[in-house]
Amino acid sequence: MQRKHKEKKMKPTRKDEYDYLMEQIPFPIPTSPFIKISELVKDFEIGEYIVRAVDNVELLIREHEYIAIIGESGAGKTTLLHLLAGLDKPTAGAIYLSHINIIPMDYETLATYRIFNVGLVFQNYNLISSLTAVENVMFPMQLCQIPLNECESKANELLEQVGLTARAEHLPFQLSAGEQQRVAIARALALDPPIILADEPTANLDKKNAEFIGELFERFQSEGKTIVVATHDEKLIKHAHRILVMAEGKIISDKQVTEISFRDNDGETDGIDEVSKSEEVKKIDEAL
Amino acid sequence: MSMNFAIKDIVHHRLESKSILRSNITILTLFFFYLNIVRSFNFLTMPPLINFLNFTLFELFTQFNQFLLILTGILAAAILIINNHAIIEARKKDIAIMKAIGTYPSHLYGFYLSEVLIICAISMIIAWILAFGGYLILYLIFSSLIGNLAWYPERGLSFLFMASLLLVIFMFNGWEIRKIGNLSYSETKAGPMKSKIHAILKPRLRNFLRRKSLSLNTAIRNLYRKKKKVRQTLVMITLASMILFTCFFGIFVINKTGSTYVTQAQGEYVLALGNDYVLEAYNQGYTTFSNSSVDPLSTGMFLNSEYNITEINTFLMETLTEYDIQAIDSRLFTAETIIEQPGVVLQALINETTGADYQEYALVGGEDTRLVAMQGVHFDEMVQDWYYEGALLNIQNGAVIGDTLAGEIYESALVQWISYSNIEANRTYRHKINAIVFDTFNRGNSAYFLLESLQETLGRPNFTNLILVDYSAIMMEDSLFDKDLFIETITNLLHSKMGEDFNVLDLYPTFQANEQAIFENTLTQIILSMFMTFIIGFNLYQFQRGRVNDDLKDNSILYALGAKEKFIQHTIFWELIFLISLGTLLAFIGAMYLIIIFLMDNSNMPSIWVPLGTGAGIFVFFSGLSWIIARRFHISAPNQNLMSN
Repeated sequence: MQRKHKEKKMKPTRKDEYDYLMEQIPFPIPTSPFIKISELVKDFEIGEYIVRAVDNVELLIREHEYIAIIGESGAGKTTLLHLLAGLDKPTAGAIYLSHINIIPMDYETLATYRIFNVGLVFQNYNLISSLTAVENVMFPMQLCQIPLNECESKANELLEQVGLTARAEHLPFQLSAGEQQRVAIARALALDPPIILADEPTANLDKKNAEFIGELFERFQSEGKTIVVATHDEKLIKHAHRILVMAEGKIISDKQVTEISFRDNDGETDGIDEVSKSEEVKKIDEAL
Repeated sequence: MSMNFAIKDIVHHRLESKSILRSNITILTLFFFYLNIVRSFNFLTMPPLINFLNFTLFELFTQFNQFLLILTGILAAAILIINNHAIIEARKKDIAIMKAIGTYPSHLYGFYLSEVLIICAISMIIAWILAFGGYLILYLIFSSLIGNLAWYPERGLSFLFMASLLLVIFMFNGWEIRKIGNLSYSETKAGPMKSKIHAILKPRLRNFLRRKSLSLNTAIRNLYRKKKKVRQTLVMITLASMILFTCFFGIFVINKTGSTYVTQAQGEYVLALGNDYVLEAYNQGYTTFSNSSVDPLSTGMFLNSEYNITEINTFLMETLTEYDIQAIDSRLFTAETIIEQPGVVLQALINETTGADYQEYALVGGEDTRLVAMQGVHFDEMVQDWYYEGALLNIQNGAVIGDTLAGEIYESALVQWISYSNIEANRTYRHKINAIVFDTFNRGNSAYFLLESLQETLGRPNFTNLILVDYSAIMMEDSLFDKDLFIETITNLLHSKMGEDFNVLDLYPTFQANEQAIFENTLTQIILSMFMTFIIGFNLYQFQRGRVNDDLKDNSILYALGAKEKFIQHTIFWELIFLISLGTLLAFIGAMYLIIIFLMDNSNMPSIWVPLGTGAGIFVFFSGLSWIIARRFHISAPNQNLMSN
């Protein structure tokens, strides 16, 4: 007797879910501006007090743009980045990514939004404590059901790029601060997201590591990623197209350092040279 | 200063303090409440004089409750120590800062040890008050409904336990604080992992995980690398499961043992034939087992020649044969004062000067007296099928005594003797004790001799005043005979041959009452066990939730990376279920071992499916709790968790 073969019902992958989400959006998708932040407000209740961390922020970010946000501690930089990443919900306002408002999305949809769009780099690295460096990098790929062998080879490739091949099997606490941050950056790149959000990625690092990370960000810029980085580090600011200055939750200054420029495949840059960018940065520093 | 700092720290971390207090209080309340209840039921220590049931059953109940009490005490101590450990772990960073600003290690020690001791002392006081209140309420309910619960609140042991526990905490957690004070930076940074852990997975585990889902992978890696936490959780789960397993399996064991003993000691379907005076006393002997208000037997005129029933034997056998009953159990029943007689044992000793082993005969036992029920029987024709210790065969001049008599007045009954006097003949007789039987008759204060031997010593040749008939054959489903008709036939025979003073007494109702007494005691244990299950379940739930909250940052990172809440819930569930499986398995093995060692000495093992079913039940219960914990996990403020160090 022949056994009847049941057709195996395939579970939808995270990519399928994402594609389905995208299908719900009216076409054609306008390409510019890439991210639009409109009247964004975030309040935190601390006992009887209400602290306004982000106060009526309006911002347009174009694709491939590199934005550095500077400002004093408590100015609202981290909160703004977390709102952009969909890690928190604002009190009011909207964030549009390619004209899709991400604010009404539930936390599940936001997780899917993040995995395909955003690479997150935190000030305190936020590596999963019980996973090794390579497992941390593999994790986002595994979430997308990418075959294990591919995950492993891609993770090792990324670790090689950040110079950590030898530390692949070490747990986060066994790595130095700089190494942890490099693993976090490799993890942020695992799914090659179009947006990189980084919250003071060099704040806890020594000069050498900070320089290395500055070089990495320069490379992301050249690869055409949209980068938003909250930082005080000149090594990261010097590559930025725009510099935003935040104070008390507001954007008090939005300086265009240069036109959007990223390296073409032939390695040439179009736009204003590095020297002029540095001068703009100096002006910002003086203003602060 | 330490006290001042400790109180401020407790108030400052009020949320954490409250949750730890809640966890401590529930388990301590359970322990103190159980202690009070067990004392009131008279099941904590063997009473000086058994006033219902008998020695063996009391021993069984006492062992069971002592065992449970010890386990609950250990669990309470473990929970307090683990909770204190959690407080100290959470203060690691503060300790490091204080060290950095130049705080003396002795001050550090004083600050944090005072804090954990204050929390424990508050927990103990509140728990004691709650337990006492609970006990009072239960006592009032019991006294109005049943009326057999003694007001016997516990004081001494509770305070001894509190003092010991504070001492253990002082030593254990104090040592832990000292150890943290001496940790290097990298060791402190390792958190719940070993600082020198080799994180590469073994190839076999790696290959196994390759084929498994990502949530299972993450869960196993988490467990594999956070061994310290896994160990703590396993201790908790194993102890909790062991208590629940012992509770429920112990109930089965006690119930089965009790009812088996009662059936063996009494026989289920037994008729007693004799003079009304003898029958009343004989029935009273069995009633005392389940009714503490009935007095034990006293001396009487049982040997009156008018009560002799021997002459009915031939006629009775003829009638019984018609009912397919082939044997009768003729007895001489009386109540006499016996005297314990010493015996001799061979003791192994060591010479203190030379250190050489040698053996020496030693006298054991004294000359205590007690009024007991005495019966002359034919051991091979008895309706009982006793559970016994010693030798029950070929008893000529020997004696068999009940377990309470052996346990209460004898030191080493099987090497000792029993003696009694025939006042009429002014002679004293001595018999070697051959066996101790589990006896429900006269609460186990009984002695049995060979019928002819007792007839001779008491000067009553050919005298029997009681006949027992086992009518189980009539009660069988395929039996053609009617029980009432059978009893009526025997009664008529007795009346016609012996007179109206001779009657038939069905002992089945007494048997049922005795079996019911076992069941009532078991029911009390079941109610207590349900209460325990609730408290332990609650505590384990709180503990596991705390454990999940400890991993909140890791879970928030998973979420920030794009993992859905369901994925995190699956990971949590896998982790919990793995620990539950291992914990319940360890508990099953441990509890079975301990039950066999401590409880099974005098008890009967139920079917193997009972312990397996109990283990499975506990596993399902804890798995359900794990499922609830996992399902109730939600990421509420991921950004705050991600920003914490």
